[in-house]
Amino acid sequence: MQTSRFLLLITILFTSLQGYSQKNKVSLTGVVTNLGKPAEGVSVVLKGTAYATLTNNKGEYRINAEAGDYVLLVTHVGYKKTEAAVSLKQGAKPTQNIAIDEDMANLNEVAVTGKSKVQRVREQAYNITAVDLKKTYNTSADLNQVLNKTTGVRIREYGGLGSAFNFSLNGFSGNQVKFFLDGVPMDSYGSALTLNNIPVNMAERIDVYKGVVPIELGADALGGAVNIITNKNVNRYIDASYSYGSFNTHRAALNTRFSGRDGFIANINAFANYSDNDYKVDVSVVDKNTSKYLPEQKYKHFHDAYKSGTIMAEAGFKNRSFADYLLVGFAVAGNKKEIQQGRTMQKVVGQAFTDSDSFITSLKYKKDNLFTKGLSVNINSTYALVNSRSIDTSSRVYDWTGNYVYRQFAGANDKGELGNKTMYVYDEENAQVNTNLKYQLGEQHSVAVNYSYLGYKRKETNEYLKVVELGEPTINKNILGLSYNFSGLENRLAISGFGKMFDLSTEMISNNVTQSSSSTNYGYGATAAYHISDKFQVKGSYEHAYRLPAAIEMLGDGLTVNSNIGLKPESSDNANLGLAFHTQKNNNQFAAETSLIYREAKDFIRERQDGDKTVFENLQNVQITGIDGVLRYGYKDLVNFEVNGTYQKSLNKNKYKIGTNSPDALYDAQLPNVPIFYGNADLTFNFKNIKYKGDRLSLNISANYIDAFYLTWPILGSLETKKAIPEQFTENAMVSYSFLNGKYNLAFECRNITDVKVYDYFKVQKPGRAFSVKFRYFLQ
Amino acid sequence: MFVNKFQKCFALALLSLTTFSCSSDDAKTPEEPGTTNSKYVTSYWLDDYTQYILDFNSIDKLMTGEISAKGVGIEQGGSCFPVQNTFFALSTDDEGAVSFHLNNAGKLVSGGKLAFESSYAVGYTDDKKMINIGATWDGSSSDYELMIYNPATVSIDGRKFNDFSVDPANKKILYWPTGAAVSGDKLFVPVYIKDVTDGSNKVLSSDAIVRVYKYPSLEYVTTIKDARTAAIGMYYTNTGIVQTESGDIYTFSSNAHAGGYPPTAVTSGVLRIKKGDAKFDPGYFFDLETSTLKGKVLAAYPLGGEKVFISYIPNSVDSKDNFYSFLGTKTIFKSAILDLAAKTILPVAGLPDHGGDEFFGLGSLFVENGKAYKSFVTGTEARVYQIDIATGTAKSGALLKEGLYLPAIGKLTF
Repeated sequence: MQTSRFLLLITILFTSLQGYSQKNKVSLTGVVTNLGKPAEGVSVVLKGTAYATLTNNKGEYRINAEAGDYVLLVTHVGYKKTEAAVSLKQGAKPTQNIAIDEDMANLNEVAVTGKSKVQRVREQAYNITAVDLKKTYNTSADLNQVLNKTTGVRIREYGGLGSAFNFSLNGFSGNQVKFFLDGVPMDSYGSALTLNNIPVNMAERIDVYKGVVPIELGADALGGAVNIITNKNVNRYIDASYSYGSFNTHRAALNTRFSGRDGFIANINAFANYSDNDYKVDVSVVDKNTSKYLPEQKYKHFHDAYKSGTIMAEAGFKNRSFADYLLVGFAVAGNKKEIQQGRTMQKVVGQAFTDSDSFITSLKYKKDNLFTKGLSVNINSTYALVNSRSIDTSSRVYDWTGNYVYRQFAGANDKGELGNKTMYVYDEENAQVNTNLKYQLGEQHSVAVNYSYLGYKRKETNEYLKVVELGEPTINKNILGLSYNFSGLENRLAISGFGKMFDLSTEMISNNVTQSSSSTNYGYGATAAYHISDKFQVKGSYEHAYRLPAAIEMLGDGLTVNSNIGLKPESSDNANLGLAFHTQKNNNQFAAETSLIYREAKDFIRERQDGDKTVFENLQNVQITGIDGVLRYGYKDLVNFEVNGTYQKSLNKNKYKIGTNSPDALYDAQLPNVPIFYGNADLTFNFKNIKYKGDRLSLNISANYIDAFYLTWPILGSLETKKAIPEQFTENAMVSYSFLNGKYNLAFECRNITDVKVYDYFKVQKPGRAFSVKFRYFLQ
Repeated sequence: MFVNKFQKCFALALLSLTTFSCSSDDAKTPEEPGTTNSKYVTSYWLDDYTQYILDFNSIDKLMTGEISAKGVGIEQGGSCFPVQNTFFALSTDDEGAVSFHLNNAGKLVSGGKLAFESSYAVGYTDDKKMINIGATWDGSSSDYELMIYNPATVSIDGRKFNDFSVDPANKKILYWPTGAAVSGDKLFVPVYIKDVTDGSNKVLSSDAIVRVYKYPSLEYVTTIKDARTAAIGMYYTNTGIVQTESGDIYTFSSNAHAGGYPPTAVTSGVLRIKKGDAKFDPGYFFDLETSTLKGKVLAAYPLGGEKVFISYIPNSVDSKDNFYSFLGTKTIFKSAILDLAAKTILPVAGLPDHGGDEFFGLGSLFVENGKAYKSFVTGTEARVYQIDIATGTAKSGALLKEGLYLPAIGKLTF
């Protein structure tokens, strides 16, 4: 019922916007070709105006402009500039096709012509890894699984589809890393719209910023950011997919865009996930009569199902006089997660669950050359309402066979299945505005200002508590950023310097006492990138950054995370040094990249086990040093190989125990429960025109390695007796076949081929071997 | 086949990337020379609530240098108790309770594990077994389970539920066990009374009370009371009841804020249950509060013979501000040696004022060759102290490097 109302609302909205958009503009269309073939990604501009666009993969472009005489300017790196006079007359449908020629005068540029958008992103001054998702569109993977193959990234999951996860990036994890969807922070989207829910088909690429984050993202990220970029280039398309796999896992996704001739644009992204997650784990259960542990056996997860669904719709205008784009969006998302176990597999849960509903509205506006040439403005704002519940009311004590008895003993904290019985409901209200102003001073200099506001309110109820401990807390964050950018030496050098102000104010009620706090901190930094030659690039960046505690860290979730309202902002000095090498010869492409990281974090926020729950706390001082590297090799489009590795050390730098003058015996010790060394390898073969013209067969095999690490301080105790997350090596394979130029795609995938036991957390076993098949339909 | 090759390629590639990662993390600590057929085993509780079980060839290790878990020790949770040549880590965590012993090579190894759902009071039996009492802390049930743990077989020899309500008609006023001791065919369980009516788990003032059971059948016999002093022992430490070599049972009543009680007009002291009896000895009361000690006894640890080591709080120091402080590190406690049969007091000299036992107690004091060994928190540091039982003189020993407590010390042979 709600859904149909929502669809009606969208229809009305679209219709009204359509009506509004019928203004007096003339639409110029055409095709740009090179040697008779369509040229993609070519810049097409009406000279002296803000009307500009890029060609699509068919070389087509469309520009809507007021009637008049213009010069059409077509540019592309490595090609000669081409101009043509065009006359746009009211009521006419002018077309202008252009043929462009390679600029043979500068042969060095030829190498540059091959640069993809992904490559160009990688060459920015920031320490950034761009993950090209186009190559993964046929997999059944979600964004987490794709990102987990990236250097410096480690995603630790508590189980199968929809399980809680912890994203770590070069030693920083959890909320130290910020997530964005097209530059809009995802913090407030609720648990149904997270990386493990979003299908790969929704995005074009993912930019992973390691360390320094540009002020444009407006965030208080400490250790990096992940920005998911949705497909912006194709004007009209439908991408529909469905996959079915082991553990009764279903994933469906529909992504579509409609662009009208007058600049009207509408996007709809919808996806749904379901899984029983009834995979088998190896556990030793207790004989209730003798209290003895029985030999380890395989048991199926019986209370671990997950379902989620999301519809996102966005509509507005592109390339109009008042806006480069103006988009209004709505999203509804919901999920439900059954809980199977406590901190480890020894504690079996059969009734507790969490669920959430989110309703999000958004407004995006961008305009270049506003009022004056070179001034551009970009505003993103969202307002989100999220309702989350954590329910644990059962007195049953389950075992792995799914049988239960009623609880015999209730301790101080074990009346429910996971802790105190709870029906914790919290309503969150998030308002977020991110504004960027940029002014370009000539070709080499630009200044930018960012202002970002986040308002958070939570209302909590818990029928099992006489007094709700935290009542109605509010958190307000204001972040202001200023940057100066320089690009010179024929674009070989890019430098950026910036300053940020972080303001945090909170108010909460604890034990009937209202507590309010506020703090203001200042951050700053600089980045530089220099092309030593066409093949070598060196990058360096430094930042003094702050990260304000997130709502869940201060307030908990009422079920598995305890609150700690005294949590302070954490700060870090981040320095990165990167070296990249790219070359290509006779259809062979080779690339090598490496980066060194150094971070000195203060008041580091760390999640600590607190009985059967966890709590976030400030650990005074942590130093992270690391190195990662990646090697890529490709031969034409036939073979692609990539191998990467990450090694990092996270050391405790507290000289004294927190709050005392006594020396901390664990000074300089590696932090517990942090992965240290891991790597990935990925090999793909592509074969074209096998049976039909335009068909394509891809074979992919990938592997993931992680070295053992320890749940508690590794320096303490003899290693063989310590609780360890073991060394693991897993392999995956996929074969996919596409025909009719990618219109129909079929993929078969096997994850964890050798069915090894996989753990990200101590005694929390993840799914073993899993198969899936995916069908995808793509129409442009 | 292909996969294998691929694995090799992958491993090779990773190796080339990571030669820098080689380190000496797994360098083995060399075995200590002079191994005998016995070892000293101790549990070591750290600030972050992890625990390591350490073993030493010589008792001198407790008296010199530092005690540290750096690179050594078995990571194991739970309250540890030396019993019948084993070291039993009684954990109610999902990981289970583990029994450790020395193998033929003198290495401390696990000999099996059991799942304990609840453990609030424990004690030793005459026949070298242990009593465990499982209970419901929030008072939602008055049925507590009494169990006999057999360390020789790492199994439960007997278990029985018993209603711990003071009056079966009111299940909100409950007895709560503070320890257990077996003498002959009787199991003695000292208790205090708590009111769980409003969910606040309030401790009420009461007489000295002991529930008596048959051993090993665990059948309830009777509840005995004595109005000369107050409730025996305190929450969780199991140090309020001691059986001496004569087989007599002595009980220790604090009547102190520091023990978590609202004090009454009676005085803190020691009562006796003579061997074979199921009643308090009406002719015996060792009043400590009005003695030369002028203190209230919180915990007692057997020293052999009829002697015990006690921790006490001076009468003048015990106040509402120090409620339950025997579970903390505040250095407001003193120690003395008592001869229970002779009713003599020997104050311990050379031991600074110290903190309490947190949630440890039973098994934390080890006796050998007329010397007692126990760790004490004495401010910002914690050390092992050796106390000469005859003279009452304490000598400071090893510093606890990362933590504050050695909750259990024992000696095992192989």
